[in-house]
Amino acid sequence: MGTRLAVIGLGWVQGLALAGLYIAVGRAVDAALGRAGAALAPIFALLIVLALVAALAAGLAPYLAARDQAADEARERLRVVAHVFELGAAQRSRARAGAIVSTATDGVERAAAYRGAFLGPMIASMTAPALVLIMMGALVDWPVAGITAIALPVIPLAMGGFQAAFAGVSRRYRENGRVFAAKFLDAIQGLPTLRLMNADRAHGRALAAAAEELRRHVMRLLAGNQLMLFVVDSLFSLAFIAGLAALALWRLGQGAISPGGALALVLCGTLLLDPLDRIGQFFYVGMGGIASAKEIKAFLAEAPAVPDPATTSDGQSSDAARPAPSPGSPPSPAVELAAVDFAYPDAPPVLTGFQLSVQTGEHVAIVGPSGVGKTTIAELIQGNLRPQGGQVRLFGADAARAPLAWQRAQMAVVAQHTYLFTGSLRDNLRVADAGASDERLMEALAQAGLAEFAADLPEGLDSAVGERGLALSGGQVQRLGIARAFLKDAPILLLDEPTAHVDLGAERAILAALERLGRDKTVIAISHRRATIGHADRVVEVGR
Amino acid sequence: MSAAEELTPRQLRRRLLALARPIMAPLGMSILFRTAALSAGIALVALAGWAVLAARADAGAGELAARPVILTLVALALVKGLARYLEQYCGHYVAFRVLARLRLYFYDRLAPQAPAGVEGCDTGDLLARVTKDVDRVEVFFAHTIAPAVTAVIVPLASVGFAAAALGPGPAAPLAVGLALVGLATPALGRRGAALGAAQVRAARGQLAGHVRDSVQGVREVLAFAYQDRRLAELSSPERTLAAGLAATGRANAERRGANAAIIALTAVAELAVGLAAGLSPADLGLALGLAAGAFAPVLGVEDFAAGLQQAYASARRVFAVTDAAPLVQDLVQDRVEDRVQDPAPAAPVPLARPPELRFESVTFAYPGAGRDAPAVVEVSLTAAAGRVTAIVGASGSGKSTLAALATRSWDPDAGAVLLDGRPLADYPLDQLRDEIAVAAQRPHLFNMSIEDNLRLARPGATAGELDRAASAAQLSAVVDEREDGWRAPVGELGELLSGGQRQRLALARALLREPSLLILDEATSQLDAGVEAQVLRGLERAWRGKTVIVIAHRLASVKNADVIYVMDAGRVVQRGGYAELASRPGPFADLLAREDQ
Repeated sequence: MGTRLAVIGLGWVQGLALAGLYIAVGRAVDAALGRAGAALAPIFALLIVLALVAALAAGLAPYLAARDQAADEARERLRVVAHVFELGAAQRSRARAGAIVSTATDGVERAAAYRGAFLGPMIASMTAPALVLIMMGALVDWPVAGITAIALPVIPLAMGGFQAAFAGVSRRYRENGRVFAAKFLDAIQGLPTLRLMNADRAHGRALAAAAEELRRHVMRLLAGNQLMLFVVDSLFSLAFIAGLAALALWRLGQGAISPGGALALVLCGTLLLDPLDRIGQFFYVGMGGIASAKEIKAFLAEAPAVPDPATTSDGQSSDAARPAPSPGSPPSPAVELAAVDFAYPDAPPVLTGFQLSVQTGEHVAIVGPSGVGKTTIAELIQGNLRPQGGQVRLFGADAARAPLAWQRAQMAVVAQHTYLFTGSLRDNLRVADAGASDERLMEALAQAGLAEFAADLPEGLDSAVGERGLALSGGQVQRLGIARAFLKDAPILLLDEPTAHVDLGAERAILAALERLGRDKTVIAISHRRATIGHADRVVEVGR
Repeated sequence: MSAAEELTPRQLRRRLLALARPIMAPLGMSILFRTAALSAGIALVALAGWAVLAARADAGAGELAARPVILTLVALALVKGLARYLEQYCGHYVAFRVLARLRLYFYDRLAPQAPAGVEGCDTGDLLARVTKDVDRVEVFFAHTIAPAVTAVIVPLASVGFAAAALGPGPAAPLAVGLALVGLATPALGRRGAALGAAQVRAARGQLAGHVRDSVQGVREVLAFAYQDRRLAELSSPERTLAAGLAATGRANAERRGANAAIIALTAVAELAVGLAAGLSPADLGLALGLAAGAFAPVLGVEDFAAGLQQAYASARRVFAVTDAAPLVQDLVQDRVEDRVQDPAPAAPVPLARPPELRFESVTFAYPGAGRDAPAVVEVSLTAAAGRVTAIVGASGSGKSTLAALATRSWDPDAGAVLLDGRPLADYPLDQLRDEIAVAAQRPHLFNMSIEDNLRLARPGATAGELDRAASAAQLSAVVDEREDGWRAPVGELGELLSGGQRQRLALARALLREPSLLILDEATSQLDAGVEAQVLRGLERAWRGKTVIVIAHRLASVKNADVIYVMDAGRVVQRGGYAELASRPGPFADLLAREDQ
């Protein structure tokens, strides 16, 4: 905000310095034409000083704006990513994930450029003409400045006119363009399908026809509506050059101003044209920036599916929800779902009065066909979802009142997919334990059955994995997930079909590693496969 | 790909101009109108400056002389507005034509490479090339060329006019000022700016990757209380970004400051030279008016240079995609070269209906996966003519790769895929794809209606044919429950349909093609058991007289297959009938043990 005010101030200084310069040029002309033998040297000294002041102001403004923009961008991105974490792991579509990434990158960039590099100079440019006119009035002629000031509202009017004329059209124009761009992307993504159906050429012809149709339509729209451009451009020139020159000639004829004064008025007129060049920019950068800022605001306003008691209520009461270790009393079950009701929005209930109690150290398998709510149970235990009725308790504590961080700390999860972050193998293991030594990481890999794999890597723990890293097999990735779970060393181990996507050989290795990992833990295994649950103490069937 | 990466600017220019030939005329008009608008703008100020000092020269007659001058000024203002309007109109025309042409060119060049060339690449990268790079080339044509050309023409004309009207002396300061703003300041801080821009690009890439990881890996982040560390990791690339932005900002600041100084000092110099040269008052007014108005065309020249470099880089990336040779060579070579006029297709090869499909010791690794990570290894299997052959196995065992090889989406690295005893490469691709249809696990649906998506398979299909295919695939139920029926939109990537509904549409699409060989690639994996059973019953009627390959990991889907092949880790590990395989220990029995009980 401070920077923006400084930028606006600098814009005004630049405008006033240049107006001063043109008025001084007029004085110099008067002095020379008057042949009064007037000393021109001081005027030229003044001219040079004013030129340098204008230059300094012109240079300083973008420098300050760029600095502000960088800080703004970093701050906003941090807020967006932090909000991603606050919103939690609720299901979201791939398209939605893509949109969030684009908000946190392109969106944040555009909004910061708008606030930093655009808004200040824009405000300065729109307001400086008023100051220039005041200066013209004070130093040259009030009537000319006053009459010209009547045309000043042409600036906001032009903006409004543009808005009125273009908002509808340009929205339709952009929408049309977007629709076609989307159609084209759709065609590119669907090319394999089109090829396999021998439909690629026909679809290409249809695409070309649609593009041509769109072009004709849009050009017709533009032909009519861009006439506004003609009106506004002509108005500016008429008011601030032709009109100003006519007024100057009129006052000159009356002898009210000197020829140099008249020249000064005409030259200052060029400064009043400045907003004209900015209007186009406003609709280009400005609108994009405003849209992005709105998008960010809307995202930050989204409420998490599962509010965290640690942030929503005071820390004291949530501490109270945590069970005090009381060695004497009978131990509470490690995990308990008591009369749990759950339904996804606009869908029939998945769980109704569901009961589950898992004692510390017990190994329980939850089995059932797809679609009966097994994954919902896993999400409830992890705190990614909250039941609409009943309670989820961990070691006796109501999960709805305990901090999410505490709830998550109680369990290690190996799910169907393990996500690898861009970075080294070491980075990816340290996700689970930031301070772990290399020895401990190797031990975790050994526990997960990856000792040989790690030993064979030419760069060892420094090997890159993730998006641009090694191509690991599905089984290897799952075993990295197990190594992470080992490093986390939480009392509860939650397995959500960890072998759903691996081949038979890998499945055996994974099951062996899971057995080692689960030895002295409470284990809840969710599966529709017998093999995963061979060693369960108890099998809970869902949906029967 | 590398050939296009190494195109010289000259070669790029030639290719871009060849692409842009149809827009040369409107582009020329746009330049012309821009020149007119800029010239009128300069003339306005110059004439006004001349008039106010000329009026004083013939004092007394001032009133009279003023009228034609004012009328001329008004006329110039209107000419300027009109030229601006026409320039913009032509610019939009150019933009649209170029964009459409580039996109269709991209599509036409990419089509022969699909499916392999499209599925194999990182689709995110491909889509970035399609959108950002194509847009950047468009911006170059539509919004860079005209300003760049007029930035040369108009200042030369201004200086020429000044020299002719006022003499070389008074023209000199203007010439120097314009040259400095147009040529010298764009170079100011260029090195720092280039380094800064590179820093900004690198940092943005890193940040985008980090954010993508955070969003996609949010479960892991939360599970391991990794949030704070994750957020802290942002600060290092953000610092790089800030340093880069500061460097480009500094260069920008230097240029703006320098330009402002030069423009102001040119007016001062013009005044000094004009006075020294003893110009008449009117001429002095003209000189000062010129100095105040002449700089508009040269401001922002540095943006053109940057725009040009970016356009070249983008064009290289686009051509790298469009120039790539298809991984699978069709019998008709010139199809790739000139798709505008469809070449006469190679004659279809006579084929038994239904045909037999045989894999002979086929080994295949996806490009980029490395030879040591083949997706299928020495696979031999036969889908007998008119029979139902099933391929089962865990996900990742190589089943779907066999489907891709069967349609010649890829060619095997070793071994052969034979249709009726002849290698697939002996058939024209068009024939092959008319004979073989695939219903995929995750089909691509286009953002159109259900009917249009279905009709892609056979544009001339009758309503009866659509109904038959739809009812066999149990798609009719989906159509009936929509208010708009067949006209119901499926949404972007089919998002308005459930996974199972999408699969049913893909099945109907495959059936409508009436292939002699039908491949169901996990085509019913997202249907619940009841619907799947219905679909399978419907299909049994539809696939009479066809060779059918069913790929599945759900074993219930293949109970009625004539023969079942079991795949694991890229190899065929077992073969037999359902009852036979289920009754003895082995991979099939292991898979069976994984199933729902």
